[in-house]
Amino acid sequence: MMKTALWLSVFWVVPLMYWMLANETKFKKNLVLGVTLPQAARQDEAVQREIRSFLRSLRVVCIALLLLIVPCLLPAADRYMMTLWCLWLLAAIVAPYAPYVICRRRLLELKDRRGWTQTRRTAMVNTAALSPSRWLPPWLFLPSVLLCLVPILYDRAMTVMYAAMAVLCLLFWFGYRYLYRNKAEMVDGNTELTKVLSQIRKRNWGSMWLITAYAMAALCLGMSLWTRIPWLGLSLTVLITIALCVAAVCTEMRTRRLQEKLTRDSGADWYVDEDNRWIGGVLYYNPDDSRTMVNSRIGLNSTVNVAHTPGKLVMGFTLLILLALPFFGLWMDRMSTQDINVTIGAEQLEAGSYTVPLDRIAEVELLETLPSDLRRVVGTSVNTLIKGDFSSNQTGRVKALLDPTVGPYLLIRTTDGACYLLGTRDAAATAALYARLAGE
Amino acid sequence: MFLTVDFSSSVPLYLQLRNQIVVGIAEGKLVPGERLPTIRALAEESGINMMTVSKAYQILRQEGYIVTDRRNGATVAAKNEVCVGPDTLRELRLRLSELRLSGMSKVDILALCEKLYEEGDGK
Repeated sequence: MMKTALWLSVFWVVPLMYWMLANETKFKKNLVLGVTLPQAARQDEAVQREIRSFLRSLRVVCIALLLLIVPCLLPAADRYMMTLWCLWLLAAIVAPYAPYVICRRRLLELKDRRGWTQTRRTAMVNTAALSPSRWLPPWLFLPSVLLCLVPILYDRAMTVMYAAMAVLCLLFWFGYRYLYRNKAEMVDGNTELTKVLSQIRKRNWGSMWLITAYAMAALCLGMSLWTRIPWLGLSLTVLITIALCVAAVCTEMRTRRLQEKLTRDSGADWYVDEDNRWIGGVLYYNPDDSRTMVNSRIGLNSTVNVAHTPGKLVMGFTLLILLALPFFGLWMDRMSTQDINVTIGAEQLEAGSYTVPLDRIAEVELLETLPSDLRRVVGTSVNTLIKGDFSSNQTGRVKALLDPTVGPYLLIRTTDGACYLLGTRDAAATAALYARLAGE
Repeated sequence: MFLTVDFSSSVPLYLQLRNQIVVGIAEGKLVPGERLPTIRALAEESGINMMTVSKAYQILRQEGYIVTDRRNGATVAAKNEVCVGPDTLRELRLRLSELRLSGMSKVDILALCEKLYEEGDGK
């Protein structure tokens, strides 16, 4: 069940990547597969051949990625489930770009051969089309911040989490305001077109951040229901997450569709060509541009200028996280299978990083099953390991270290009010620990 | 009006901006009273440093091509506010000398000047 849920949570990356990259074959802002081409090139047979070849390769890569899930679902793969999951996720993000980069290079060569290349180190400004620096006011985000804090009134155990989500909503305004470059979307000399394209991008960018902030507030409310009405809380959380993803994809699709429609007749004479500023069509490298944040070429996203140190750091960090995914999987697999040692010494009980002095133990209980509403506050919760700070109505806040698949469990309360929920991977050993603690 | 910043040119960026705005005013692409982009907007748009744009605007203001105030930002100055500085006269003398040395007669030079002047008037 856990394994299926894990794969269900990521398999959609492939269709999404397919859609995003296949969409690059539709001319918008004079761009196709990250290459700027004149209007005349749109009907060029060689260009169309490259596009068809790209779509074929992309389909093969995406189908292969989806088929790869099948062996990962076999029982034999259980031991390395997280590693395989992380490796697959990395492949699903990176592999579809391979045909993109290859076909883009071929298109650039074609562009050179046809004499369509304009290699100039210039920046053009249409003073009549500069977008006004009007932004959504911060108070529009304020209700979402307050909504995140509402559950604290009736669910104090998770105060830290609700407060963190409220801060996140506040940060969304900063994201909206400062991760966007207020630059006109100039594709040619048409001032009105530039103005409209700029407005479309800016409006969708703002609405996306606003939607995200309110989705976060709704998520907070959904999570606060987990202890009271678990099924409703879980359903709401899943639904809101799905709705947010759908909203993000739809906004991006709408933006791209409008860009495609509005620039259908562009590129007949003069047009903006910045191909020499984009490495592989993905990384923006422009030492002449003093800004770090830049807008993606199509859609509404932002990216960084890797010609400057802050841009290099951001991109380096992002790549590091991506490349670290398999190692994270290995670590998770190792952690979920390693022994859980709970030992009783002369004066104290030791369980992982927890130390409980024996003379401070006020009460010991043997639980056959875990509390049904046990929720993570901070820590790890995987198939075979629960570790960190958790909370439930029955136990209150507890420090937990156990394997949820192997009962029973020790519930230890101390004189200073702390509570521990412990268990080993051996039922008999846990029972023996209980007998010894109860005896003492 | 379109401004082009050429990063491979030996002409400093602030001077490129200044020159293009002057030509824009002369050719009627920018009319007296028209508001120019703010320093921040122009810097954001072109990717050049705000200090560079600020320097170009400062020179334009000193030369009387633009006026700035806190409410309206930079606007194109009325024509009578522009004063021809010694640098312009020196430059004009140099260009005239170059034309004479190239073999052009006075009549040809004046005809060329008239043609360029009329282009500036948008005729």
